[in-house]
Amino acid sequence: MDAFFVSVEEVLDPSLRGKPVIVGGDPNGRGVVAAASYAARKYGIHSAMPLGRARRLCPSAVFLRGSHRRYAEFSRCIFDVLRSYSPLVEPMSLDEAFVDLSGCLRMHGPLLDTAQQIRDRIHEQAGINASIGIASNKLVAKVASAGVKPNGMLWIVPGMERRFLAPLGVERIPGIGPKSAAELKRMGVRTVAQLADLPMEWLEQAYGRWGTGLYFKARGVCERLVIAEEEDSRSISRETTLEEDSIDPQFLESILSYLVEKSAAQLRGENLYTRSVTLKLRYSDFKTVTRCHTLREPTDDDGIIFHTICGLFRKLFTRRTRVRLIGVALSSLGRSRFHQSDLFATAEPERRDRLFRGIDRIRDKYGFHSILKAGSIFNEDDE
Amino acid sequence: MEVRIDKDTFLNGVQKVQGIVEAKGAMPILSHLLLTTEKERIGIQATDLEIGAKGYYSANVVAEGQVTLNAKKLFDILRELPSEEVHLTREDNHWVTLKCGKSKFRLPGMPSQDFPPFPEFSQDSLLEFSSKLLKEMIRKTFFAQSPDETRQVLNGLLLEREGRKLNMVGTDGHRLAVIKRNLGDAAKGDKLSYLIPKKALAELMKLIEDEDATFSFSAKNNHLAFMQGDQVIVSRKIDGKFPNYQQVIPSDNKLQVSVNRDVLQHALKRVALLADEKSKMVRFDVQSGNITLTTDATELGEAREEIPVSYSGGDVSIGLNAKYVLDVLNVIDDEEVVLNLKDQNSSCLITSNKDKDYQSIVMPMRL
Repeated sequence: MDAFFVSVEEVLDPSLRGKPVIVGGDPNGRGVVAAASYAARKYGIHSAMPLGRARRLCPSAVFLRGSHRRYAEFSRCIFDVLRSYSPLVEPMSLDEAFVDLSGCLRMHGPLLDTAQQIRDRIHEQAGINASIGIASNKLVAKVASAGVKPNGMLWIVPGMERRFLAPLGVERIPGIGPKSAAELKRMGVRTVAQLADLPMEWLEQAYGRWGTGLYFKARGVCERLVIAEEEDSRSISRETTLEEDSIDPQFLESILSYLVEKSAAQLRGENLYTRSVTLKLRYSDFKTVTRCHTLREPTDDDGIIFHTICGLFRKLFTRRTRVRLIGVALSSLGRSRFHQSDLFATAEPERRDRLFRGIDRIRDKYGFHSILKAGSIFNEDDE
Repeated sequence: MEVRIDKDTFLNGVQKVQGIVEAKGAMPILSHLLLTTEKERIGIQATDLEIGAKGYYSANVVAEGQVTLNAKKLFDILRELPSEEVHLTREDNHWVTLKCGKSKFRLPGMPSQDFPPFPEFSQDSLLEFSSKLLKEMIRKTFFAQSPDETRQVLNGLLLEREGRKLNMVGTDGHRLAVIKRNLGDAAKGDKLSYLIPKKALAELMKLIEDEDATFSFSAKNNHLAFMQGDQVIVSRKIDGKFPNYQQVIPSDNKLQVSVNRDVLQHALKRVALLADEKSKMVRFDVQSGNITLTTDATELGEAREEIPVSYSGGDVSIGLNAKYVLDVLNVIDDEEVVLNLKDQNSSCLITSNKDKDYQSIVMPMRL
């Protein structure tokens, strides 16, 4: 999708169209740009830029907090469209996916028509412009779609992959980030064509396996398959950049309590159970650390998850350094739960289940914040 | 320091304590053993600051003294040496020379005064039991303790004296094993209760070689000691309150299913192969005359096995972690075991008619 978060905001409030719109956290706070409209990009604003800087570049821009829930809704709607064309849809993010159309054309008609149909249907259903790159493999399709944004469509005919990539800058190849691009440039490798001229042994010696990968990428060769999302293999995570760096463990634990409540509610909403709990901390010096704990049995209970996260936090938070970002991730998700009863447990587990079902019903009706743990503190930004 | 010692004696001594040593740790000296001389004996000592073990072995002491040596290296060297006399001499700067036959080794030691002092322990025996008894009690309860390090009181076994009975209990919160044995008429005194850490128990098992030997047990402040002849193992005790285990031993599990241990063990092992990897749950459907074991609805496939039992009550089904049940079947000596059930939500008590004083409880999994 093109500038997805912004596009969603424009659909919801058409008066925003054409204006420089920036979605991110509190504009006076310290978040980063999550998405910028094309009008805003003209001012040099791009995603992941600190909001303060975006504000200096374009003070007249419209700053929006953004809502993950709204975006997820639009995303679901778009993915429904994609899945109606092929069962093989591999989501890359909320607004990006690979669709494997091989073998589906007898059903849908010529390739370009089908792609146009998909774009039309997305526009119809969600009101959002999509750009599509069509190619014989994921690598080239991705580069093609990035190249035709906004609202474009590009088909790289099989056999033309290498020629299509050749004139492009190396940074256009997925997997080559700003750092590697700079390093390659230092050695005089600016375009994909120049990269393709390097012998495989050389690349392998210099970069190991990543280098061998480059050799093939430069030739437009990519054998990775489109893998349909396995629903249960995902993870649920929530993180927040603090308004102000904090060193206060109690405050940080309160934030964690809130993040756990949020993620556990989502877990229950999707009828999933987690077995793996991860804590993420980013310190003010941007050093980022994560720690993971595997539970003995799957759970969707706030209390157990919070207890685990706190255990991790107390072990991990040993540097006397301020924390900038804090997050919780639940993984190893599954639908089935086995429940081993406890010898010494006093409360019946069914009662806890009933409690959480009740809390979830209240939240459905009156909003998430209508009922919260007393120990939970949340950043205004997070909703 | 200069000592001549029989290689097999030396190896045996090192082997008994080297499990305690931490190979990698913050304190390099903890990866070493302390060797000391005492008249015609050599003392071998190891500690990880939680547990300490010491043993004395006869040797020809030419010159008194003490040295430390890396436990792993010393053990590996001794293991490969021929069965001859080992000649150990201390050189300057804590280096040690080992000679045996035509082999010669020089190893760097560390200053022996840096070796942590052996924890104080009491020589006053509170309890005495035979090696055989101790070994049996540990073996039959050890598996039930918790591997979860956040539940410290469950990371070991409860040793308890009640009247003339000696009890040992292990539990991880999902299962429990309790064994009671008679201490004999000589036993006397008040109720005693101590929590022994699992590492100490594991090391203790290694010390037990002669089944007829007698171990004595003592406690002083925070330290528990097991002594036998010239050997002692001292451990810090676990602080905290062990859960009230008596209360969870069911008394009204009236459905008694008697089954051949070997048959159940093998059938359960087979069926468990296809159980959910994480839960290891196997469904036990008990009818008059037989039990059907099943695992189903997992990605791995399904398995089903029927085994004959002696049971004539009503039907009952229960889900149990196969590993928990197998752990119990493994240590019961009787040919027949009895599963005492109540309903699918209540615990399963596993007993043997020949040994009423050994009981294991496994909590069910929700079906």
